[in-house]
Amino acid sequence: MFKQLVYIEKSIKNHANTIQVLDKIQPSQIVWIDHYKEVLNQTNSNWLFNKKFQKIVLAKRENEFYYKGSHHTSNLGHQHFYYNTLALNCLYHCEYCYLQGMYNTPHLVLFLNNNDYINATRQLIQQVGDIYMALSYDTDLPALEKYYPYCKEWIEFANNEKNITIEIRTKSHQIDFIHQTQPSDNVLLSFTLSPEVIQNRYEPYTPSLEQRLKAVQNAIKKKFKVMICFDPLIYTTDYKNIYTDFFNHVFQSISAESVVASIGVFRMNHQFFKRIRKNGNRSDIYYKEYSIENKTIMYPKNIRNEMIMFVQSELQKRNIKDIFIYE
Amino acid sequence: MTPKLLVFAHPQEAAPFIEKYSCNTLFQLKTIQCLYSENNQIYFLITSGGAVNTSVALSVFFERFSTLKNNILCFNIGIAGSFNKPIYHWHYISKITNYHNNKSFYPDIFIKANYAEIMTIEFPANKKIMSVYPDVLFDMEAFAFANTLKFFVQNHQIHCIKFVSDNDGVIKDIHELLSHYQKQLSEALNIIQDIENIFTTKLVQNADTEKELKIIIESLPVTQSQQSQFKKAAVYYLQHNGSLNQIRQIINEHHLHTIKIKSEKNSIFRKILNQLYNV
Repeated sequence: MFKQLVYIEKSIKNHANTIQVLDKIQPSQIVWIDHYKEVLNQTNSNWLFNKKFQKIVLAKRENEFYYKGSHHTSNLGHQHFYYNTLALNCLYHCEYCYLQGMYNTPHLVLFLNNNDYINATRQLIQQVGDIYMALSYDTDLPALEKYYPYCKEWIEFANNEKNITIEIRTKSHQIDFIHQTQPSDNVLLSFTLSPEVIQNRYEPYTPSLEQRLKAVQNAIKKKFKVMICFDPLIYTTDYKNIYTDFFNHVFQSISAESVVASIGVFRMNHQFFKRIRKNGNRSDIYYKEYSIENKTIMYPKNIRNEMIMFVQSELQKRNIKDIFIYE
Repeated sequence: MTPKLLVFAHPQEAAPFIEKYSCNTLFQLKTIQCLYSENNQIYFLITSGGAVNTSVALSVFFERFSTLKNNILCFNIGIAGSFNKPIYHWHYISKITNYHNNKSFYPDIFIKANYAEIMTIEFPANKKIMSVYPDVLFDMEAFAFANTLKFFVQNHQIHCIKFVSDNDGVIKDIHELLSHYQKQLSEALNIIQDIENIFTTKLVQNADTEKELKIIIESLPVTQSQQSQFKKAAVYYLQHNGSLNQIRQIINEHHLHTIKIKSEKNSIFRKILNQLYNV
């Protein structure tokens, strides 16, 4: 992260949240912009090069405070599934992540009008009734909590609004917000875990497995509902051994009754995949054999089925009752 | 060493830089002058003032030296006015705006420096215009420089360094200005050096290995873009304890040289890359 320089939309120049975030970043230069897309969507950028010097953009979202849930993710059995984008792009740089192909630059956009999101969601609930809202698809919110208390404010909202279930998905171990908020049945903290060998290879800058397991334990101890996401499952020739050892390790420190699980194999929008490869990502992930179904890059069906069945049975062996599967 | 292109509107702005490095004239076309310092791999391009002249000169340069576009670092260097910024200081430009249509270019910033924003205007900015944007610098070329270069190179290769010459659109003493410009040259050179340092981490440490790798790459029956993809994969392979002989072996195993059908060749090429990245 390159914090010497921060881009800020002119419209939020005197906003209290802007001043609060700036206090934490302490940049030596502010560049005033009319709209965050001027920076985020700048053409002709080298994405990977800019990732090394990722910058923060502070902005105000004018509309589209939520979207219909993506078919690339599980709706966890909810009829009205939505997601929102409180921030764009991520602090981490997971090699399998679709964000590398989604925007022209990797700069981190933080929308500071969180209240507008909450008010729009309140109106949505009035229109459609019970909803399931995933909070952090295009970023990792808990990792950004040090800049703005998104998680805290949404959990407080969910505590008082029972017609919403929120999911906060993360690879971060920084979940101090659980000590400042109350758990409730409609708040789900999802922790993405991967075997160490996969993590070392494809998830640079993310907290270690041990740190993440400790965060899971803390969340359970504080009585939060917890989901463990084994997603994406990455295929390697010896994946069965790798994942068996990994599950043994994970469920030594976490009791199976305290969590639900979700699983899904690696998949990505075809256009994003092509763009990431064009941008020069050297990961072997982008040179494997895939099939394309519904404009989505996936492992061939036989591999997919084999991996899902294997992981599902391994989890069942360890008495995980609720397993959500993305196929 | 990374090749660099230093672009100036006027010979007086270029003079101290040219003086510092020993250069030869490469070409002259009407008012466009291009010099080259072979030892330092620096090209000096003097364009004449204004947006059109800058665009034309850059197009002429890259038409002649198109092979440089993948790694050359380009700098627009010169003087600029500003209502508030103190005179006789260098600034590294963080935002370039066209005064007439308000479009902006945001250079990829990756060094800590004395930043400033600049506005490019088609006529010399007077005090009244400058006072509306008091902290901004004003010049007549930067936006055209960036916008034209976007056609030839990527954004992280485009940089702008400006020296504040006046606070009211009037240069009172040109000799004094040029004297300060020259005296503080090292500040501009430090910015250039800092940026270059980001790019000069050697991928392959051994010069012989690099030379041999180049021969292997050039012998591959693939497109230029595939050659560049292959180079990245091969460097990755070497950095992970692979050897040149093993690279040769991988190429031979796949019989890339004997395949005539393009789609088949592409598929085999991808398999080779996969193998190199899976070292």
